Amino acid sequence: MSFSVEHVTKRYGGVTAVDDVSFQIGKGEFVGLIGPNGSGKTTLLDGLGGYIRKDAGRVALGGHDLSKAPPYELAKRGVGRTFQVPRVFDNMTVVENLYCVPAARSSEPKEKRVEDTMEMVRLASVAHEIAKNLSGGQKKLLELARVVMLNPTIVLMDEPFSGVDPAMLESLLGLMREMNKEGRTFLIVEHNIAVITKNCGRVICLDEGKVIADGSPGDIRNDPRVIEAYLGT
Amino acid sequence: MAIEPTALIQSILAGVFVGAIYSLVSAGLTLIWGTMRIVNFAHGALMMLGMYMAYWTWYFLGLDPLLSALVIFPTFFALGYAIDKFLLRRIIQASSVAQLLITFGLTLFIQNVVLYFWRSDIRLVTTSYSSLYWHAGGLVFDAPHVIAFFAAILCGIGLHLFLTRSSIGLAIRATAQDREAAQTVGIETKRIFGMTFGLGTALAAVAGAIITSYYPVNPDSGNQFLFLAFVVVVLGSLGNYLGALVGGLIIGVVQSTTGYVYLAQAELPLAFVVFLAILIFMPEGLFGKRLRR
Amino acid sequence: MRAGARSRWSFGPHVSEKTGAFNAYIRSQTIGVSLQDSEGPRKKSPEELAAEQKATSEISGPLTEFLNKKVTRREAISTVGKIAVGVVVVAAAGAGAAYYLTRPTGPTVAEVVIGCPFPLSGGSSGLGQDSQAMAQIFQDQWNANGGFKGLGGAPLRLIFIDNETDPNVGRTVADTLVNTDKVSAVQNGFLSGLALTESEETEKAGVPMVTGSSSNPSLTTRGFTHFYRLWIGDDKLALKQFQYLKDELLKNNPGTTVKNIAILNDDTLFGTGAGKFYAASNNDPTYGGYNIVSNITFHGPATDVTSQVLQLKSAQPDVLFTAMSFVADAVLFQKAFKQYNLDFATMFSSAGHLNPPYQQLGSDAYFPISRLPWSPDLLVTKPWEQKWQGLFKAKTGKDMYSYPCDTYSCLNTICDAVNRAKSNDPAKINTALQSTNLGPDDVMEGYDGVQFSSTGDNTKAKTLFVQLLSDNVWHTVGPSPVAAYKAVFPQPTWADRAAGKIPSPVKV
Repeated sequence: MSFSVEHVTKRYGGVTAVDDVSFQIGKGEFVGLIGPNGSGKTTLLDGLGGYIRKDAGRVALGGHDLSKAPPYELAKRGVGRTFQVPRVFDNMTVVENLYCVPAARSSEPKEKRVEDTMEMVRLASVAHEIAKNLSGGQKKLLELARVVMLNPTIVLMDEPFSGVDPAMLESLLGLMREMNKEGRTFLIVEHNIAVITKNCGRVICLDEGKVIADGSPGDIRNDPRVIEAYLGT
Repeated sequence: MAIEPTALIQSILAGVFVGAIYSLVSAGLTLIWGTMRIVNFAHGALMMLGMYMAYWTWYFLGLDPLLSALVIFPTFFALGYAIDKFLLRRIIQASSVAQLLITFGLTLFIQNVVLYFWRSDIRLVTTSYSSLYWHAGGLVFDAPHVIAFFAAILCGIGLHLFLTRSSIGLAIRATAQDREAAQTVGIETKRIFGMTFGLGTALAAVAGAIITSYYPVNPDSGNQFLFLAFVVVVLGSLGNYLGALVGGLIIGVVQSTTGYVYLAQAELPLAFVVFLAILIFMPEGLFGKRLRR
Repeated sequence: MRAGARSRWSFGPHVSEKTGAFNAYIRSQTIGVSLQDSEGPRKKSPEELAAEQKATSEISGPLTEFLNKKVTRREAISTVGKIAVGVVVVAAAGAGAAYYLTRPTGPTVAEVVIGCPFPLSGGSSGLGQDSQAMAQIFQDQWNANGGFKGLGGAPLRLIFIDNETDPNVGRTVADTLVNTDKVSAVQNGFLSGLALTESEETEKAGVPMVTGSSSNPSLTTRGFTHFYRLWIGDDKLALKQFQYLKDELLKNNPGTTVKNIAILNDDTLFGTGAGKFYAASNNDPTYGGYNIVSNITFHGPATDVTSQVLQLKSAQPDVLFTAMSFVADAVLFQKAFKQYNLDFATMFSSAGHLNPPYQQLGSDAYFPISRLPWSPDLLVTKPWEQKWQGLFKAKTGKDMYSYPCDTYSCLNTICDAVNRAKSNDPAKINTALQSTNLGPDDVMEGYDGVQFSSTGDNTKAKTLFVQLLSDNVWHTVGPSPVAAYKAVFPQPTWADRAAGKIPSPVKV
């Protein structure tokens, strides 16, 4: 199930925030999307997630055209999504946060899946805590757990590591790797190049809405255009 | 005037009985507001329509209002769902003025349809227990109030279970808290809006139905409850159904005890004083965010 | 828009004419100014431009002058003043011309239009709809009988409009009736609150209004010269009830004593007013002097009345004086009286209790006493009313009752005045109304007829005392010269009623 992005463009007034972006991500890839501030990373992610209408381009997952699909349909098709500031359902308990995910993509009983997921993300001890009382890192875990409930094919994550302490960062990464091993694809927007180059197999770099580099972390680190974009001229 | 303890207890109980009805009406109103961000002025009219359905099923089929409530719930759920699908879905993104106008327009429409077909005469349902009283320790209980109270409590518990145990109930609450995030986990919020409006409408209609055994039915019957429901919704923190359930009881008791202890004419103004005081001093409502669900 | 209502958002034509003219003038000015700096989006031929500029300089003289010149504030004001004066003069001339062209010419009148604002929705809509039915019957009958004899048989046309039982809406619809529909007169049925605001509009417009049983005393103390009432004010009615209690009920039943009374009224204009007059009547040296043990005003329509009933229960009055506008409240109270076993020697009541659905309570509803201009016993003493009873029943499925009778008598009084005025001009009808002299058979009520005092009160008005007896009919039980049945006093206790001890109606 490859995820393909073809000629996606988004303009705001006179500014082209995302400019004819194309790439393909194969099943099980772990891809980082980097770029300096204002390079169009979040806009691209919102476009792929169905939150903003794209001015042009096509998005498809495993051959299914998802260019015009609303977010809930993307979710049902296996596109998971997390936010920079975790958006858990604050006034519901951890269990309720997981239970409210429609059970469209699994034949297992929901009870079992909720239990398994909670075990997997190590939130079982706070299962009946109101979500707003969780720490920032726990909220990130819970948000990812909600994505797990979707049984996703690809997970789009917006700055998953921002504001996470080192211990939590390890468990979050561990969880992501575990999911990745199950064959789930990841596309991670991240500001911090160090984290990305250390963990991702492939890195795409955006600048001024365009893809300026796409390759292995090593290639990216040495790519003059990337260095220029980050250091400025 | 001396305050007699039995009479005071009696008036508190009367407040609890009528308060449970306010709770039910308000819970529907607050759910709709919390989830869809629509102030539903048609809520009272839909409640009134529920009262009429209870009346007519009693009149033609001899069905007790409590039994007809079992039919009224799904019927009005469907009606509410349809209203959302054909009317509100078009204005969910519109300005609050447009939303206000459309729900207000719906009220006028419903009231006039009712007026046209059934005129404005009040109608009374007489059940086998209409004149059944129980005496206990100087207190008098009449069966219609007591039965309606327990029915309302059952509905309240049912609502709570539905919203905390069922997937749809949880999806409604998730949508109320964060529409976008709800979509990312696969919740089709459009459908949830329909379900919410259906549920809110059904609650109002059932509240209307179960009081017909003691409350006269006419095209204006819902309005008295709607005004108080707005007070309750604010008291119980906007959008918080548990707050509305508890707030209804509080307003009922405040209303009836001030009516007895202080001055009868003070009861409604006092309910509004409470309302204003909360708006000014506790804009989050009595239960603020602590109890919001 | 409510059922049966016509638009109430239209303004009088005089307003729109003026604003219309003014807007047109301003628009021409704006066009003129914008053409000064030429180059519109569409290329214009030189001829066109020349013609337009010529026109422009003619029309926009003062304003372009005003814009181009550096003018002082005073000059500016005077220029604006000139424009305003010009507009007013032009509009006035136009209105004058329009009036001249459409003024009534000659004696022929095509029809006589009378406005009927009714509460067709809102709290009293049942009464309004029934009254509207009676008005329609009246119109049909009047026209079937040859219309206005004084106007060569011109037909009567009634305009119905919904005041939504809301005094503010009433004001608007009254304005529409007199200024847009140009009605010759307005009939107003029975609600004081509505009569109060509606009559302010009719009075302003110089259109006469006749009301039936709107009994708020202040209605006829405002110095209005175009307002007439067929019935009696609440202040006098309250005292008459105290008088009836003492002179008839207590005198005829010496075994019953009354020391304590309570007053219970809602917070409408009618309710608070009537409550006050009960209290005032108790100060009357001859008929008053009881202990007022409870005096309650409640908000109507209510959702629950337990606390008020418990207050009354603690106070233990012998007689209860009530004033409730809404039948739903009357029902709630009566049910609660039964639940809490509140027994009175009698209960005086009015509006809400007299609304027929109150009687759906069956035997629990029996025995309140009320005062009314009309009761079904009049069908016996005035047999001609039976025809109307038949027509009313055919149209509404109900027996005739007091409020629709108000409408009949109001309309008959107005139509009589139109016939004598031989005109549909409101001023002439008003003059004719002042010399009205109708007999007992010109009205449905138990009045001696209609004759208006200088304040517009009917000097021939009378009240009946009626009681809902156990045949579920409001029967005349007083005053003694006209009583058809014996009053049930004291009324049976709830315990007696439960034991089946319910007295049957006894004819006098």
